[in-house]
Amino acid sequence: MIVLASVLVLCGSAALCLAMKRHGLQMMPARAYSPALSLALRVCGSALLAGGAVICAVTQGAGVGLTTFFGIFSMVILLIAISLPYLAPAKGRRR
Amino acid sequence: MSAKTEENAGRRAWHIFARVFAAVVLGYLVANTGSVLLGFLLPLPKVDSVLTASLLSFAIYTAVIMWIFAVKTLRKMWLGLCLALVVTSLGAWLLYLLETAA
Amino acid sequence: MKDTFRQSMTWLHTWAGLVFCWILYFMFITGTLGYFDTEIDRWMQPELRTVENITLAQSIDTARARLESEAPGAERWLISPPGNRETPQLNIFWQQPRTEAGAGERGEQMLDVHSGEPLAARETAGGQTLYRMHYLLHYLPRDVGYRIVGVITLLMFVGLITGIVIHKNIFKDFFTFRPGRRKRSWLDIHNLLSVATLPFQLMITYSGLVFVITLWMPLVGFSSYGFDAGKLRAALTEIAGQVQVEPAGTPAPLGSLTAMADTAVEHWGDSIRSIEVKWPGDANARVIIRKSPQSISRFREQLVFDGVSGELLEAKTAETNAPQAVANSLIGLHEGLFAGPLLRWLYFVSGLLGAGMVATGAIYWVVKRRPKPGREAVASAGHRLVECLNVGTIAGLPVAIAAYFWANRLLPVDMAGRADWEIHVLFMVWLAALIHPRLRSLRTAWIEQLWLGAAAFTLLPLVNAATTDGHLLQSLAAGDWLFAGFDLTALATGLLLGIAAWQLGRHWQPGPKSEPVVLPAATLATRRDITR
Repeated sequence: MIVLASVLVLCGSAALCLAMKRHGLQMMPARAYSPALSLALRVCGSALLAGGAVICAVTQGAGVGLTTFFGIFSMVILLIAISLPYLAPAKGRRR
Repeated sequence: MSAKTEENAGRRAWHIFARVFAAVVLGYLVANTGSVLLGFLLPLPKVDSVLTASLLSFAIYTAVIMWIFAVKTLRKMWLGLCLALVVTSLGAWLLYLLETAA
Repeated sequence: MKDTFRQSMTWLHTWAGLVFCWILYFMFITGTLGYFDTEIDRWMQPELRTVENITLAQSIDTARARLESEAPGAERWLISPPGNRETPQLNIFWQQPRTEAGAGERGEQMLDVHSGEPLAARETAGGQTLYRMHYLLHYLPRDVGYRIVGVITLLMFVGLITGIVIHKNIFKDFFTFRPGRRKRSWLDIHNLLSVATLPFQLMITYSGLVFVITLWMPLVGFSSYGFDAGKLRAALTEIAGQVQVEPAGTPAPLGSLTAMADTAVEHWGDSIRSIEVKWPGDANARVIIRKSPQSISRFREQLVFDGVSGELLEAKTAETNAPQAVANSLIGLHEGLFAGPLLRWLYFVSGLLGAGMVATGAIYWVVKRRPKPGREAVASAGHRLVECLNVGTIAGLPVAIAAYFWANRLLPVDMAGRADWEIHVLFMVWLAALIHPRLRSLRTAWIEQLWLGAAAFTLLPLVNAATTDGHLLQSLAAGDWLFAGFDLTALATGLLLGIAAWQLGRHWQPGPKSEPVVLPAATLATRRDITR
């Protein structure tokens, strides 16, 4: 269950990250990125994150579960942030 | 020019010392007396309000420290701290007397 | 202080953060290791075998027999059954009654369940000392160390809050990391480490402050009870749920502890954490059985028995008092005793990241103020001092910790004062690391210390294999996750330090004008995007 929760947190955080203009444009071509996509990513991302938190809380109790959730969330944020510069597709000079 | 920069350096050192002193001594006192006052003001059973005020005491101290370094002039800082000290101590003392009299 | 609020808070953040950051780093590293304190204890006493298939009754009987011979008239006994994370071996503790001189003498032993004799193992400072140093420091009287740690914790809290306040775009910069730029990258990493682990940092710092409330904010409780310490103590004891009982003075045989333990097992199953006996041998004896931690609170469910008759007097199942529950939750979260393996590792990594937060802050301070080459190329004395302290602590303390573990394996087993000497080695190596940059240049010192740390940690499993009768491959095969985990973590630490040493070596090598670190083109694009 924890694995599932971690996957949800990872996907949710990634979605929220891409919803941000700065990182969305890092990862996809400018024409693919739009405010509608950003909103959709935001909504999905939040839902996935919430799902991860709920799973943790339900399987381990509120206190312990949320503690675990925040721990996983912290690691995921770092993982994403550190990988981004290296995963982003190489771009030529823009505009 | 170098005399002026020396003078400025001296003034700056005094400013820093004054604020640090205020934070370490006066700010600490205000945090204590403020927490005591809070303990009397909270509408909870005594034991609960004492605990709650204790738990909040460091948050109060942090806020005081931030104010000490944010306030624009030293004069405002001294005035503010003395006022806070007087108000919190007197307030706590009055409430204590009221409580023991009741 | 300065012209704008943000500038003043930046000043405050910088100085509150910097002044004691090396001690704070020490507190973070030792405290983080403290999350595996009992595991480290066991690694440092490899002679002790894990306890196999012991019943609770056996443990209790053995413990009771030993306590009756060691401390018959004690004020309290404490029996901690074996087989759990906190007390893998059977532990007994006793405290003699209070005299005029002060609190009664205490004693503690680890027992072999079968023979009833104290276990023989090399005297070691263990993981427990590392853990204690994080809140007491060392070579200082307890009170002094504790007070200093309290002050530093407050400064850390001020640093956290001011850091949040001055961070423009805390949400926009949430995932921002721009490698390859000298100053900006360090700030990015400092921000990233701090913001990503912010819940942990806020919790660990404020809960750390909760420990020192009575020490540093005594007035709050004290004056509210009219400066009557007795009334305050009574009130606090009552809400803390501690059992207070005075001895009757008439002797009466202590009832069957195993029978009481059976009642506890009926209530809770297999989760007995400890059995405390107050005033054994007295008519007013009480037996308090506590349950293992299940929630984030440090509150333990208790069953209180009459010591003589064995009758269940009281079952404390929950805290009744809300502020006490908050305090207990904070303290419980800080100590993390409830944490299972996954959460414990998350705590551990978060703690190391906290140390990284402090370290990157100190490094950024140095890098930002480094004088530009050419002009007035001489750094101020303060700047040089910080640079020395940085290398000696950020790179040097890990070397000292590795040396501590090496000392545990290499110091003669029957050496007198062995435990103290293990700690002396730690501090001697740290001192050497602090002096090292004065003898070599700063850059050489960084690289040499990082390589030394890498070597020391990587070779640690070999030292273990050479000096004990087990080694990593054996531990893995036997499924001994304690020894295997320790060795693997040592290897991983060595690897990380080695990578850092190697990267730094390349970065500082005199080479072609272009950036020594290969930049993916994406960051070039990002840089333009952000500066727009």
